Amino acid sequence: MENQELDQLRFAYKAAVEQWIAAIRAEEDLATPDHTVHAVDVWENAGFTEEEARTRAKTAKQEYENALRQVLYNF
Amino acid sequence: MASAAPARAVQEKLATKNPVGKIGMIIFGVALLIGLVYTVISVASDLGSVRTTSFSPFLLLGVALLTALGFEFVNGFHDTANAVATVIYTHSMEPHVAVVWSGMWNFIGVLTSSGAVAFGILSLLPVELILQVSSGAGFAMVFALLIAAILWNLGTWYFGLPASSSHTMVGSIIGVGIANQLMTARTGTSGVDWGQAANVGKSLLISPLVGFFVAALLLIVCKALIKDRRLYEAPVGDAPPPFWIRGLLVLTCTGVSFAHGSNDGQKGMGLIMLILVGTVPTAYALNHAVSASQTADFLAASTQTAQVVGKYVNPNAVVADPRDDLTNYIRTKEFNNNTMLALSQYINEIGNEVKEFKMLRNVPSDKMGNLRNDMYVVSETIRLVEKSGKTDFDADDKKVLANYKKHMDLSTKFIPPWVKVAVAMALGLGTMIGWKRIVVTVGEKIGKEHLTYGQGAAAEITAMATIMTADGLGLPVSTTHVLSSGVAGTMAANHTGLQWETVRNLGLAWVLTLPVAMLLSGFLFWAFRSMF
Repeated sequence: MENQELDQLRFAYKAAVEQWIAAIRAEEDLATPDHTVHAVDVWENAGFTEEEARTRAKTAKQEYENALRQVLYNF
Repeated sequence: MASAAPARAVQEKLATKNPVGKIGMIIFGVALLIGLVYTVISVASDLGSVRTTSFSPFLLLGVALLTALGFEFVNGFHDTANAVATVIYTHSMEPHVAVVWSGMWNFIGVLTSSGAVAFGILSLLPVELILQVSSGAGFAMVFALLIAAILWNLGTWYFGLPASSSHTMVGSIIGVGIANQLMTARTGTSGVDWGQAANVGKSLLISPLVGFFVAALLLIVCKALIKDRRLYEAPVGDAPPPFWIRGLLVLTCTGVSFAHGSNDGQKGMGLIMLILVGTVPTAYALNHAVSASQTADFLAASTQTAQVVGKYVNPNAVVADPRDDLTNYIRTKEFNNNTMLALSQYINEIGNEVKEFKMLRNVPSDKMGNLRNDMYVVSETIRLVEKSGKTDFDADDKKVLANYKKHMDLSTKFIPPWVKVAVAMALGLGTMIGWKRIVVTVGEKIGKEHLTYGQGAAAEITAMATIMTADGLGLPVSTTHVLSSGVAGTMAANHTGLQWETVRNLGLAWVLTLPVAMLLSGFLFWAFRSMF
């Protein structure tokens, strides 16, 4: 039971990290030889998406860590 | 958030697994209720003698008391990590038991404290504000101090940073002192106790070094002398450390909690007494419990002391207003030819005033605040003259002065039992709430690997030894800094590495504590002075 809940949190964390990696790749892919203002805007927007994905991954990590602390140290 | 439900499920399930912590909380809850009833009854009884048609002093008293108790409450949960982080991460105590245990020893520490620190903290405040504590300036000072300290403690707690509460309080006091100097258009900052700022500066250098190197050395010595491998490996599962080291860790947790209660609890008590004297001087300016025989002793001591001080008066001294002279001396610490004459005259004046009323409780309510201020000025002058060494008192004269000061302190430096109970409740309750953030930082975020039994013991023993020796040797050290640095020292000694982002944040918070508290309290003092 306990492990199932921990696993759910672990999977949620892993999924969030995968989304973050995808966001980083998407941002990186948009750094192209097209040096127009529009291209830079699109690239920068991808940067904002990456920041959101990073925040989600860090939150998921925090929740997984908190749950592990509950199990290991009881608080 | 997809993961929120399982996270809540784990928390709820584990919450039901802590019957010991729950029982402790219930016992403490009952103690709180009894304390609350006792406090309310005591306050109502004390205020029964106050004759006033205005409700505002009581409203002000209520708000100020809640703020002062709020400071103690925040102080409680801010500093819990010093006592419980190592016992929790070494499985020496179950966390909920540890915080209830720590809260109880904080509670006991406050109740058994002497009160010396409480009045010591007041001597750092600007004397003119102490003497006008019933005025807008006095209340502006108290509120500015408390709110600045609460804000910085809450801010550092929110980010999980174990910063020193004592440094915060000293910074707040200095900030008010500077703002007061600037607002009264005096040149310089003579009313500010820069010696305290220097002590904080020394502490910033000494504490991390003491904590880091003493804890590291202790661990290295233990490794050389005690060959039990279990001490130097991460705990397996929930296994507690060997009995003797577990006992040592619980003992140090107890000692650190008790010392914190008996020391930090008094800071709030001193400020509460200032609030009580400012809002309802009739009830709290003078100690009504001083008996007729004690008053007679005081008068005899007063005559004797005036004669002793008279021996050291400069023949060329001329004094117009002894209170002005002495207040100026306390503010500037500049001894001059007139100081001893002013002191001698003032001692006689106080003696005559007390003789007129025979007992302190007979002093009319409109004169109580004034007589208290007179006594405060004389007591502080004697303390500062002796400390300065400007007058070479012989041994017998020193005894006379000490006896007189003892009588004076009995009349003015008293703490009603309900104040201790209220502070003990606030500090104890604070200890049990909101402790997790800083405990996690100390236990998980300083080193790169898990805290071993040996590391926990080395860091906590260093913190405990620091508390025990700091007062005796007069070392300006912070327990919070010593413990955090101690954990870092044991990590370095174990070659396990440090989390430099945390170390950087800690260093930044420690360095910023004094200036930020100064700025906050100075700004708040200015804002409150503009309002009141």
